Amino acid sequence: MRSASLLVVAAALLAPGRAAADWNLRIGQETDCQESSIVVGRCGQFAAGWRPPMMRFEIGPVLHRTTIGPMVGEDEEANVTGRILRGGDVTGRGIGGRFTVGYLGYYLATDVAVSGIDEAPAVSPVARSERGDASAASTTGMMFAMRMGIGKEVRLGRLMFGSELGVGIGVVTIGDLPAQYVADPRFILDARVHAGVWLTPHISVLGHASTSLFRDGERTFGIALGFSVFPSDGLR
Amino acid sequence: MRPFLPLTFAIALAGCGYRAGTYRFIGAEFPAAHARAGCLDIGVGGHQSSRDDTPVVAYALGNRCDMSAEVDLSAVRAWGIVASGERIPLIPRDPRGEIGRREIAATWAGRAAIEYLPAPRGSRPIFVEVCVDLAGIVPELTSFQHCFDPRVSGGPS
Repeated sequence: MRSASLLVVAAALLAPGRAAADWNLRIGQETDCQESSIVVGRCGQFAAGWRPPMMRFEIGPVLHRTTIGPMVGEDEEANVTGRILRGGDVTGRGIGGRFTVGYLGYYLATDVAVSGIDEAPAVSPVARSERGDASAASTTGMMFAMRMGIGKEVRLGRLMFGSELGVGIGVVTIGDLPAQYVADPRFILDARVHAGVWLTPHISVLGHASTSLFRDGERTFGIALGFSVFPSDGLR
Repeated sequence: MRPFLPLTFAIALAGCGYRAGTYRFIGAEFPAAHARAGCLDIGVGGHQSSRDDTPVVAYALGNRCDMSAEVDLSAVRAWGIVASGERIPLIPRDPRGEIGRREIAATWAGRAAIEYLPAPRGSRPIFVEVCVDLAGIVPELTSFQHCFDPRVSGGPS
């Protein structure tokens, strides 16, 4: 009984392998490409692989500017709220990182940026018991953004230029827990351009600017050092 | 494209390109005959196809420069020599019309293997020697001939 079970199990394990082998053989017979030929006109494609893909890491400082309106923030854990009586500009400085992959100049990029707020509308603490102290207004905070962009990059000599559209999410937080706190999560839809110069085939310096497509006054500027896995990102 | 997937992955880990004058790329040597012209390090070698005894010429092209380089392998002239000494022109087998001017990215390398057929269609002469002249594939290359015995098999088929 035990031997019969082992036979059944062995047959079950081997059957898919045999089927796969038959399938591969049929594919090979039908397409004449069972082996990996690089001869042009057989299975090989002329000039395939003559340009490497794009794979680049970037890191550098960013300047971020946006706006925030009058609002009341709330923090359940701290059981306090903060209030912005008058909206206004929010500016901050921070650091951004970016990872880009692409081919033939078209790319997909992922950005992350974290900034400390330099200037923002004041947030007044308002405890739920309405015992807040308006004199302790705060204008410090953080900005965080994470986005993905899709775009096109070209090379002119040692220079490169790119443009893209991006979507993502971000949050602006103003105030200090637990006294006062406002968090404004937001959707990002922006247009971004960048320009750079190749210092070596693997290292570049870039400058970038982006602007929101639906929120007036929201812009990001930055410079970055780029490290390319493949030389010159395969750009012309 | 299958051979290029593991190669691409290997390069992604290594993070390197073609290094000038090495005649070697991603761990593989260029074919034996070497030349240097303009931005290109050129390797060429020939053998007999294991499928149908036709001559196949393998090209490897390494870009020494920080800019992309153009190369036109359709400019290669090829001919075979039969036992009587007669010289028969050869044309590349290019059923999809792919062979032509292309760019190799900066500090990168490209390979191609091209099968050559006798210009008079349908003839099947037996060559004792096959030669290719690469003059003109880049403007700086004015003379570079390589001849090989097409009865020796091996290499890409």
